[in-house]
Amino acid sequence: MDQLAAFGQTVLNGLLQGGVYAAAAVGLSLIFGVSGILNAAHGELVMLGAFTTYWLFKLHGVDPLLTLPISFVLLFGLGYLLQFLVLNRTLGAPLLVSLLVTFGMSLVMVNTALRVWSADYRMMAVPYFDRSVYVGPLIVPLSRLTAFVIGLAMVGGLYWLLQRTELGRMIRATAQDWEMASLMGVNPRFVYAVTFGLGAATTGVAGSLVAFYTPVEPNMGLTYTLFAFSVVVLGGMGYIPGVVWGGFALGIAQAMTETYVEAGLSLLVAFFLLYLILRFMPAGIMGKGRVE
Amino acid sequence: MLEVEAIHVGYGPLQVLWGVSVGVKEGEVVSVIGPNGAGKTTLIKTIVGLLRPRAPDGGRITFRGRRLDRLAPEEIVRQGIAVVPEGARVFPEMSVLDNLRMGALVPRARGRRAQTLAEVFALFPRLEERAGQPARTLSGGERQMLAVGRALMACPALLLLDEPSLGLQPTLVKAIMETIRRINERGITVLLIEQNVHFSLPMSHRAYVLEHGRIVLEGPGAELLRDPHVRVSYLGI
Repeated sequence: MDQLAAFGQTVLNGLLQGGVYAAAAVGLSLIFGVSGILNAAHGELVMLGAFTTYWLFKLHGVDPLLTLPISFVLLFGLGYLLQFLVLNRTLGAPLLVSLLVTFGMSLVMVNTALRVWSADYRMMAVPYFDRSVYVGPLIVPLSRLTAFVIGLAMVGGLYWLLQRTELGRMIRATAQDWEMASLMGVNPRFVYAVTFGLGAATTGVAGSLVAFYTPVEPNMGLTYTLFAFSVVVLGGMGYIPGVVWGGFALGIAQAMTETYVEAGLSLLVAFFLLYLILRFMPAGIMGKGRVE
Repeated sequence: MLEVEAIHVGYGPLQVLWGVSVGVKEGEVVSVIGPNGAGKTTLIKTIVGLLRPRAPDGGRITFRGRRLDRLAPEEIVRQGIAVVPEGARVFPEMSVLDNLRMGALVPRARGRRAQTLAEVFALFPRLEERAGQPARTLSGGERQMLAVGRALMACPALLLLDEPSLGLQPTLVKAIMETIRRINERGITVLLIEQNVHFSLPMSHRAYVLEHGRIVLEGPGAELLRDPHVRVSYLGI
């Protein structure tokens, strides 16, 4: 019975982490699917979102939940400007060009963060997040539950925006045929900027959610870039709902490894899953991704 | 209404159009015919701004007195021009309805969207039956209808059609041509690129023959249909 409970707790931990992974990866999937840009600075957006929440809470006493919209708006603006001023110049260039440009951006972001905030690990202490919900033998930390629910709600919200709104139709049309979209009156450069803005905003919020229960530091981004990339490939490149399945798969696989093999192998698990999926199911778990 | 004046257009070092001039008056159906590779699609792409005339003396394009050749495509279509491109180019992963909604993005069409949609469905009942389906599941003829419907959603003053009958079976070609004639009767000016001269010339007020990037003949549609060069080259008679 104890073993069963431990197993259940492991799966639950994996699911909770997976929901946040989905939130952290959805922006990468969106940006790649629409603009064909592989954003190597993706994890740095997680880091910036996490620091936004940390500092607002620490310096101004803003409730962490209230920092989420601020994180969203700040990162949206940053993403919009990066695409509009920098990445729009790489349109039509090979994938490698945007990869190099975003890699450069990531270096600038990490080193600026190190300079102004130092390499210290910082952890928020939010009283009401220390509580847990008990379901039978299972423990659900409130901070993780909150992050999970908000993360998945955000993925759902983004999906709704893409499917049901005028802006969403403009983004999807541009992703499918940008020339034709421009002949419908859409300015593709504006759409690319809004897309990068939305991708950065959701990623920043995911970073804020991560800050609820893990320490924040300038170098945290790289692992999230790798996790997000794994999640997107697991779910299927460019297929937005796939990030939920990819997130759960990675989250549960990592939790299993931590419980039954050894903690500290989470990166290895991500790479191993990435290898398996590329080897055997290149279109993702659901088979709906793009294969090139 | 539309004046294309002596435009020179090319891709890099390859020049495709050599001083091509085409005029379309309000209310007309004007067609451009010519063999593959003559530059017909290049002409359409230049009008809508996807290609630019060569600088500095590449000619000019005006629409209702306004220069088009320096505007971006999204600004050109806002002037009241809509396109049915070669191969329809519907948005494959979007539903038929969403494709039609995309057509009505321009400000002049936005407010009238519901009404125009009803008109398009009346013109193409098949599109209403398939409204929820992704466009990639449509047949070639249905895609062509969707592309025409999407263009009509923009409430255009001028409709450009690039080989709307390409790859369609003869009965569908006839139906599409009949639809274009009806669209014109509603007051929409049409510039039509069409290989099926047998269908397109009789309904054209005027027509141009484009060969090797130059206009070699022009005149009333019915007259060109009797022209010996046209009969030999395009009707195989």
